[in-house]
Amino acid sequence: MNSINASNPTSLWDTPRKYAPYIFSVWLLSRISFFVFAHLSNTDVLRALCQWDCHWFSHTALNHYDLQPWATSDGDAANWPFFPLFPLLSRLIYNASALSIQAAGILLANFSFLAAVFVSLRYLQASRRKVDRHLWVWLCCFGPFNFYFASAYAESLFWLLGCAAMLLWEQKKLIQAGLVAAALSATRIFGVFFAPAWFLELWVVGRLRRLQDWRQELPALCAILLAPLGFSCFVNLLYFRMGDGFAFMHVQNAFGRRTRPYWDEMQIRLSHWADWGALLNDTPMDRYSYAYLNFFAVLGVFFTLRLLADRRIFEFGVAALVMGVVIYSGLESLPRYMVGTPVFAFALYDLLGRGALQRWRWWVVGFLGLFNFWLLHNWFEGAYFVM
Amino acid sequence: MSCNRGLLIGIFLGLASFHSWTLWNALNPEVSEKYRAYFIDGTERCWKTEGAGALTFEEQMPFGFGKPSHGCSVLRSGWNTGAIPWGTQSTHPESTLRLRLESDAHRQATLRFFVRGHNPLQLQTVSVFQNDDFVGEWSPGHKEIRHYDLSVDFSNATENFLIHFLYGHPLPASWAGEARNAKDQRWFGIELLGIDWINPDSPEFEGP
Repeated sequence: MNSINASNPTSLWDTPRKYAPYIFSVWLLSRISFFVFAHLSNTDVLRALCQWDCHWFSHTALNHYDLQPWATSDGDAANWPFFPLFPLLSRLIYNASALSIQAAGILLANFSFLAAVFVSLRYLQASRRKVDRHLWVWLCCFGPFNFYFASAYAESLFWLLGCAAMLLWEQKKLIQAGLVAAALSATRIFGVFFAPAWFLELWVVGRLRRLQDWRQELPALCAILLAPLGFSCFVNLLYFRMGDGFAFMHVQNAFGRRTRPYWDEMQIRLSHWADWGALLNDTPMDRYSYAYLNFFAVLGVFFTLRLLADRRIFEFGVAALVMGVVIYSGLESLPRYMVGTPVFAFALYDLLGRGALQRWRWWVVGFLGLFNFWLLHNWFEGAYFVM
Repeated sequence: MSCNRGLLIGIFLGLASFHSWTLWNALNPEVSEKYRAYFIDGTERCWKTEGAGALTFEEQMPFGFGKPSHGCSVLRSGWNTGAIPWGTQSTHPESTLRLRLESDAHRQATLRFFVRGHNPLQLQTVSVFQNDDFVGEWSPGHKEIRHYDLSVDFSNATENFLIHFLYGHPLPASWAGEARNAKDQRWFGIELLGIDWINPDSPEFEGP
């Protein structure tokens, strides 16, 4: 039996507990397969997994936030865009163990992701009528770009906290939801979007139309103001440490996010829909394709609209804000942002459970799994397009 | 939810105040003028201005990744400051250098530019401007290293000079078959290997 019916949950962990061995096994299988894949590629798995921002997170965990920019040939990059909760927890594991800081981060990320699969399944059961748990667990553990959840990146912690906050909100545990969302907004910038998305949901369902409603919804409004608390603390941390609370935003150009005026860049980008071949270039740093990113932009907009069509207002709100910010910042790293935000995975899951796709869903999961291993190969080689 | 209303109102107001204070802090950064100009206002295009010292008489200024002058303090715009070990490439239809020169007693310098052309059609011309004044035109050969001399006069002991290059026939990297991907929108003009402040009276630099 693949499907189970939604129940009225009483605890965060209620239903998935009996599935724990199964979820753990699939997760372990995925991690072993990554290890074997690295071994077959003659690569040290720790070094291969720790690419790009992994080094920034490790640097942040060891050295706190930089007082001055120092990195890149122009000397203008610093670790300010990397939100503090993930490096802080990595540092705690590092202090309590004999692991390197990279290994501590990788351990944290992988176990956060294991917990995230549990909690996200619980959220699906609370928010959908029928849940195909096998599909969800395999999609999570072998889906494309899964290496972001295996490397020392904040994405896995974001999934865990994000799904927990959504589940608690669904269970009407509003203050707890707000507190978890506060931790979420100290993990990645997108955590801040939970506040406006919850507000939008309350507004759309008509719970904030009159002043009297606002009084009744005071716990929900407190939760909404709690959600950006982690973000606010981070802004103050930067302000009191180096003087600029918005340094995480101001330093973005140093990371090559935008090399031309916005509209010039978008014009060039949107005129390329067939440059897929560049993803196969010999030199990993030369593997980059506008068509690839454009495809994910179309997919992201489609998923966002699907969530709206399904009247999943909160999930739509988060997805729309993420897409808006990523489009505004020029689409770089879009697949990472989509995969790192669970609402897009929920939209894909919903899509696979209906219409013609339902019959082919396991073929789709199989294809996505193969796609993931191709992406993983590129990740191990340090290909630019998976940055 | 068993929280009483008064406590919730207190939490609500406390959080609203904290977020407002945070916003105030964030909108009023306490940073240096240099930081503000580069990171916030975007009026300065180079952060690491102390990368290269002033060029002095009979000194050399080589370009290439990791070398002191291979940064935005000298390569102001239109140059590749990436990981090329032997020099820098122009990447736009025009490019600009900022040279800081420390005068000798003569208040004049002769600068020798070592240039490798990218001129497969033999059409390339490079118009050279010192500050806003036209000072010459170069015709580099294709993939050949040539040198061109430029004399500048000082009015102060140490002075910054903007040297501006305008390419007559810049070629897109994609046309030359050298684009690595669609993001590679470089326009080839010249490759600049280095600049020497030479002594034109030295027998070493005498013509044939």
